[in-house]
Amino acid sequence: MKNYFKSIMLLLSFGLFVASCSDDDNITPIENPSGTYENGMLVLAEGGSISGSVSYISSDFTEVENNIFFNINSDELGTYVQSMAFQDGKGFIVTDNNTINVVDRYSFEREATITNGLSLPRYMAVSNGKGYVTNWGDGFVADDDFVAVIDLSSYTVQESIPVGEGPEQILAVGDKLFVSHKGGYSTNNIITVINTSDNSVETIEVADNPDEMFVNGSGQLVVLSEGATIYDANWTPIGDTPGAITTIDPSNNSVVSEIAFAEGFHPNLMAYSQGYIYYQLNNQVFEMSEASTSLPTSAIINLSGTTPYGLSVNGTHLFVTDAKDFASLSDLLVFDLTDNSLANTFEVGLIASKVYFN
Amino acid sequence: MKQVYIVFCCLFFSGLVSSQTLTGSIQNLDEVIVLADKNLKEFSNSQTLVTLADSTITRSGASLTELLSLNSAIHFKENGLGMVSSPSFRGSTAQQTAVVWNGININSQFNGQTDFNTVNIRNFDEVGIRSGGGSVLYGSGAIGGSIHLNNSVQFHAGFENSFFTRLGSYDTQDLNYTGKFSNDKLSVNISTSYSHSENDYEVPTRVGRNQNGSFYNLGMSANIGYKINANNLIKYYGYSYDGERHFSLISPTETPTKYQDINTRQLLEWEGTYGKVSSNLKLAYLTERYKYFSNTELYNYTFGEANTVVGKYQLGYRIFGGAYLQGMADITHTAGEGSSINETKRTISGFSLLYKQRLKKLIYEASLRQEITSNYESPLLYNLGLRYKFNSWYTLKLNGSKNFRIPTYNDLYWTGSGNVTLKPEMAYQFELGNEFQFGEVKVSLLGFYNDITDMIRWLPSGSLWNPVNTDHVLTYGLETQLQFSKQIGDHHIGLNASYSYTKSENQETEKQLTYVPYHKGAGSVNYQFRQWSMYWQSMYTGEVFIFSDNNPRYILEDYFINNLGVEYQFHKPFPIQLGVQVKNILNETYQSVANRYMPGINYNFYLNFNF
Repeated sequence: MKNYFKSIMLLLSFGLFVASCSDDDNITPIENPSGTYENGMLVLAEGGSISGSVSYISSDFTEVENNIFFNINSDELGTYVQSMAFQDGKGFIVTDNNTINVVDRYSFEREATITNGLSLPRYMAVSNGKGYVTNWGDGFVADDDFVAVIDLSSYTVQESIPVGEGPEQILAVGDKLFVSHKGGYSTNNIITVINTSDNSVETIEVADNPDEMFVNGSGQLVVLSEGATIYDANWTPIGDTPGAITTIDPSNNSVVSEIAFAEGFHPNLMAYSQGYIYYQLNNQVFEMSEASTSLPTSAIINLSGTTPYGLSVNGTHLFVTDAKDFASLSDLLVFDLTDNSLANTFEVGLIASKVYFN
Repeated sequence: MKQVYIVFCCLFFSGLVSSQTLTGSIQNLDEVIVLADKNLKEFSNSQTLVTLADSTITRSGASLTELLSLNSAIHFKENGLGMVSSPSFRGSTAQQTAVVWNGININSQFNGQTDFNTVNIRNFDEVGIRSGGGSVLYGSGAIGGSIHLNNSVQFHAGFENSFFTRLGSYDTQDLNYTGKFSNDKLSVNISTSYSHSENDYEVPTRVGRNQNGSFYNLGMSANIGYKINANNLIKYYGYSYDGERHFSLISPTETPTKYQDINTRQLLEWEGTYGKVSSNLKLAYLTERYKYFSNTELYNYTFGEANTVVGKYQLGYRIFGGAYLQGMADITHTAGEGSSINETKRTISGFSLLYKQRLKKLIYEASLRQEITSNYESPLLYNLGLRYKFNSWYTLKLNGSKNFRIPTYNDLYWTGSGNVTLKPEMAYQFELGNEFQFGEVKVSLLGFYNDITDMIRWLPSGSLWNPVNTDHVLTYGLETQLQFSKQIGDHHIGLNASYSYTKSENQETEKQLTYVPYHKGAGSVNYQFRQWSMYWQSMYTGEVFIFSDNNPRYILEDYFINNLGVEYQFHKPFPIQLGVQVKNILNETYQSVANRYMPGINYNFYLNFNF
């Protein structure tokens, strides 16, 4: 997502400032007859020229409703809707405009809004009964990044844990939190480990620009690093560092293995399901066994002609959000993993990114 | 209250000054006005050139956006009042309108466009709108058309001072002082403009009021002319602009940002007329600098800074009666750098040849331009036109031209993303204009066709974004204009109305470009009775698409904006014009960019004091 942000900064400099929020009068949502958003997918859309939004698609693909947050709460999320976290029947929608909206995860009714103590929030995880939210601070400042600790009874930020530049995704494993540092508007190559018992911090070095993470079947942390471009003093690209899939033992924070991509190859989306790792590279989806020590040579799904912006897997279905030209509504592409064919396409919000299963 | 006090202080002070300077009045001498950019009138015979009258400028707010939005077919995409504003002229993109200051193209080196809310109109003597291709004369970006901000130098006019003030809703101030002195040899004109607004108008969203939307700008200019002798004239034009805008918020929780612009322009010109030969040497130095603060609370900012030197030499020869040949050579050297652009220099030289012949009923003009630069391959540009006056009431205009928009610093040199292999955007265009005049009624009807290829767009490639020459867009449409003016005894009525239909279609997707309306209309009626004037201004903008796929559920609705004004002109003891204006009198809720609402009904009064 970082590069998208870079582009946003570029667009800013163009004077083509993207605005937010939709022209609500013109949206006719498809009704969701069950009235709840259980047993289905929540598809987040960052927004841009209109507000970010959340779409609901039922597991059997028969019910679709866009803009569910707006439909229930008559309010927009704003830009850019970044991610969601879930805990105890609650959903936490993290938006870059320094807001976390707390909703009932099934009815989507808003219960609280957290705005104080956040500064460009990105992702949230729950551990020890508290929320932990990564924050960039000012995207251009390297030393103001932090993880905000949220009291989930009062929905207030209790404290901030300073971390390195550009904390992105955050994952709770036991008493630890693992934070991938994609580097904000810059680049970084660390995983921060926060011990939730005393909020002490350690770092693990990985390949450049770590972003997506999950815990595999053996309880190990798997991190996808995208790799970075190397520039000379004149900012001319002179090469790049390879991306990698790194496996970390969360008990002692040691790197167990690292599978590097070839130079010039930068994977950027990853998901995990039932012993298999799925990642996106050059508009193709690859599948590999979590036990594999080498990368697959052929892809399972060809995404040419699309702009893959999010990847998720659930059971026998793989989901890709297609952001298209970033100037029209995105599609959610549903692939059937039994034969890797495209099973369904749904129009969702603007610049759709994350897919969560509810 | 404070402003009122200041105004009265100024009035009082000015009165003192004027009563001194006006003794031994030297008015009513033969006033001679020399325009800065002679090419504009010389070579626009087969196209449409509209020069906005002083009264039109007085009745407009200080921004170029407001002036042109109400008085031309140009559509503006404005992120809320006073915020970033970009034009769409004949359905083209923001980079395809050239803004020309005293003959020099001043579009930003970084993004190739001018933000029309960073131009304060009060520092200029004349604002011109030239529709259609103009790259031979004005270079990059003159595709949809060009906007001309001109200053003039006048001789034999003595002392003239004018003080303009406008105070309005949302704590808005718009002030200008212009002082002029000229005798038969020397002409000095200095002007200072200040514009400020808290800009906290009500918006129909949960923000309630426009938050973090305040802005100010200060423009200063000095224009000096000195006649060495009957054949030689030296002119200097200086201009500086310093402005800061806070960018308004959509969600109240957003981090507030702000933007600063500092631009300076200087032009030294030597004009010589030797019988049939005219010679013109121009030397210009332009600086542009912007700072973007991603958090108003912090001192961190990103910036861009470019300094440009322009040298231009023109040699014209009146071959015989109506035939005129002009050669032009110019060189533009730019050094620019920014937070994401390493210091890069670029030099472009150009050679142009222009010919015009005026026969009895026919004027035809033909011009060519070739630029040479090491940065990209530059095409041969041309412009061919004719104008034929069939009879007293009908004139036909035909024009065809090839124009371009060159890649900008951002396109070429943005670190990690810039594409140095970009070509210029090309535009072939053709237009046919008909002008009819029946007594006091003037009607014009014009069709245009513009084929724009290699349009530069930033596209994602992998996880990076790069600019590429990709889009092919056809824009075509119809422009109509009606003017009427009638004096009966002490009553004068004037009417001006325009309507345009514009199709701007991406040829690959066959979709209308986003934020380009099909329909735009503008007009005004003015009624004057002795010292009283009353006017009504209207502007209609049709619906626009927000998304590139023309999704019908995501449009911005059309809007119809109306202003009403009343003016009274005092003649004694000094010429003072007082005006009261109600803007958006129908209180229309509207936006030209999604969720960037514009103000509802609002009020201002203004005073124009000449002494």
